[in-house]
Amino acid sequence: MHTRFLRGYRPRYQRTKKMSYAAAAFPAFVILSIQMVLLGSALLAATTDETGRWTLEHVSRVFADPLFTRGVLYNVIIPVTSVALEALVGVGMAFWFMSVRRRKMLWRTIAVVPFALPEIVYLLTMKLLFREHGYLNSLLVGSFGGSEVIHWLEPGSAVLTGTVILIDAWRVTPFVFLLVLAALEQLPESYAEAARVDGASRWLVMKRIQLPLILPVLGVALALRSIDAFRIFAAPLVLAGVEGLPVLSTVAYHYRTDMNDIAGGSVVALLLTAFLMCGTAAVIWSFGRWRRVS
Amino acid sequence: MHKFRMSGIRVRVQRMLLGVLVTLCGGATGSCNGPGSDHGNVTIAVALLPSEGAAYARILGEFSDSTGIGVELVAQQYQQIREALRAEAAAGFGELDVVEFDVYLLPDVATLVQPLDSLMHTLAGLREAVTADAWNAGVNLDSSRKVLFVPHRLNWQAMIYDAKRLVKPPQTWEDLRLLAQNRPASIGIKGARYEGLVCDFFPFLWQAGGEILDPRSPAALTALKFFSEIRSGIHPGSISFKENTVLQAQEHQEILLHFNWPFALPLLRSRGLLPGSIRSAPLPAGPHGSATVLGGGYLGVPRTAPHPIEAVRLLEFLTSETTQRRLLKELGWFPPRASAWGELDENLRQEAGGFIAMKDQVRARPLVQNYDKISVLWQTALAQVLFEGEDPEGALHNLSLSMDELGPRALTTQTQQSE
Repeated sequence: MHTRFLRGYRPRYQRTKKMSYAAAAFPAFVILSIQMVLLGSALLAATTDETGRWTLEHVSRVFADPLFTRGVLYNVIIPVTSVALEALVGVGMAFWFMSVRRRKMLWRTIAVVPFALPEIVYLLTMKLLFREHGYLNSLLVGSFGGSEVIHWLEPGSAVLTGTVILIDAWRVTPFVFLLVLAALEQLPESYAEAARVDGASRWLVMKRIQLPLILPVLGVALALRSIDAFRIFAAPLVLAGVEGLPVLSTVAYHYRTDMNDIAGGSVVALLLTAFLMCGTAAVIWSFGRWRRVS
Repeated sequence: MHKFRMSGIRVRVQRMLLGVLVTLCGGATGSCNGPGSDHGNVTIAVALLPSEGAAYARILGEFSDSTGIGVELVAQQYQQIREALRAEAAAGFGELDVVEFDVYLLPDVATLVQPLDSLMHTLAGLREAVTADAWNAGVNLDSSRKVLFVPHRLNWQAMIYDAKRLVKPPQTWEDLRLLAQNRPASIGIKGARYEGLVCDFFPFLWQAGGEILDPRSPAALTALKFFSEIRSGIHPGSISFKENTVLQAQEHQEILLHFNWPFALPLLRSRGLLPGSIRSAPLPAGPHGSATVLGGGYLGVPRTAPHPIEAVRLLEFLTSETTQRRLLKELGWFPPRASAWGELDENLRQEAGGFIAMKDQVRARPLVQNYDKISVLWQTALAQVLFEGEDPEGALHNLSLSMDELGPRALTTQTQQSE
């Protein structure tokens, strides 16, 4: 009966399927075309001179700029550290949350607030908090005395890099936290119970049973975050300015807007695009490989 | 039968949807017809602060009342106006009738606007009323010397300082040097690599007797050495400071003084800091006296303007003495017409005292074809000296070599060209 039902509806189902493919193909084609045009125009601007002749002068000029070199360096340091921190804190928070019994909704809301705020509002609030005469230094001076303040946002300093990583990670950790928490809540309680009956400690249950079971979800969350983290823009720009803590996107923005250098900006933007495409491919490949192996 | 009726309804619904789709497409195409798609309103794009919008719109409203020409105000930043104008020029048609640009952007957009010589009847009178420096900034750089832009408002830099913690602001280079020694990290410089950095330095170059196009002169070395000497007094955040961020540092008492444009005054007033804890003062004078840098908004009519005649009438209105007086009174914008200054309001005198005191020491940046490239070279040299500890002599040597590479045409001023 069931088979007959399906067989009867198959042609219609297949027709709908074909139509949905066609419907999806058109916007995909349009979006891809626009992207190709944008990439093409950036490539043209980056590799031609004022007379339209082919040149690598813009590329060599950008590569010789210390701002660009620093941008590449920070574009690796910040995302890698930030994603690692998010994974650690997000998973930790999710496990802690599983043990919370009272006011669960309140804690969940508090945890999600940084992610729910508009990015610019969040970053400006953080700037007020961390600036030289900001709330945090006032609190520290008020609590511990003295007159020396910590220069959280001093351009070029390691403290600034740490502060930006912390602020960026804090904003998006709820994303990892929520996904991991959802995965944890879906796990049958019987697995952990069985392990506990066999004498496993809470740590062992977490390490040997729960963590391996949520790894696919954690992998997806971290893959998405890694791709997003390499596009970092607003946090270093608002908190430190372009020269204070350059990353590739802010360096491209600086060339384009402050220096009116379309060619230089295009070179950096193209490199960032290539960087992102390679990174995305690597993440997808390693995630697929890991799934096949596991 | 039932099935037949259903398919009939479906066909009808499909036809109706198709009709709606065609109508919408038709409407969309109609709205993209380019020139003449609006109803005769003049569209003006001006760089305004949010606090200035209402007063400026009121003044434009009076123009509409007296002429019957509607005005649509687009408040945007100069860079965005430039992008819009470039897009319109590429398309061959546009919506903007009047555009305002900062003085340093004028050579960059000169080809996108139309000459005003034959269009604007009040041009001769305005020319008489404006200083030569302010007028020449709007004149085309080629030999035709056509007027492309007219000054709408003028700006120049002055010192903004914390009057509570700094009883007497530095009046000379020596005072500034002493302040840098005694109060480390107390001076804010707009040190991000952009036009603002050279606007902070060029007054000092002129005060030393130097010129922007002559980096080999001893005066250029004197000025750069002076900046190198006050390094200890410069706030480390200066490396990324721009107009707004340096002002925020001043508001949060992270610096004692900085150099900025008059746009800072209404912002400080709105926060209750002016007049009171923060004041303005003239820039510290150097060995060759005092000088400051000319800025300001200039108006032009795009080549693609759909209503050029009405646009020119608006230009005439905005540059008239009556309107200039109102702009000074209501928005604190410094008028290009000397006669529009008139008797100054006591509040304005108190708040903008430092700026007004520098009115006669304003100097324009050189009007040369490659000014943007020359500016970038100076920015690089300054950043090297201020933030990388480079020797001023070495930085100037590199700057001179790079400037030589630009060729003699790049260094030919407008006056030399007209000769």
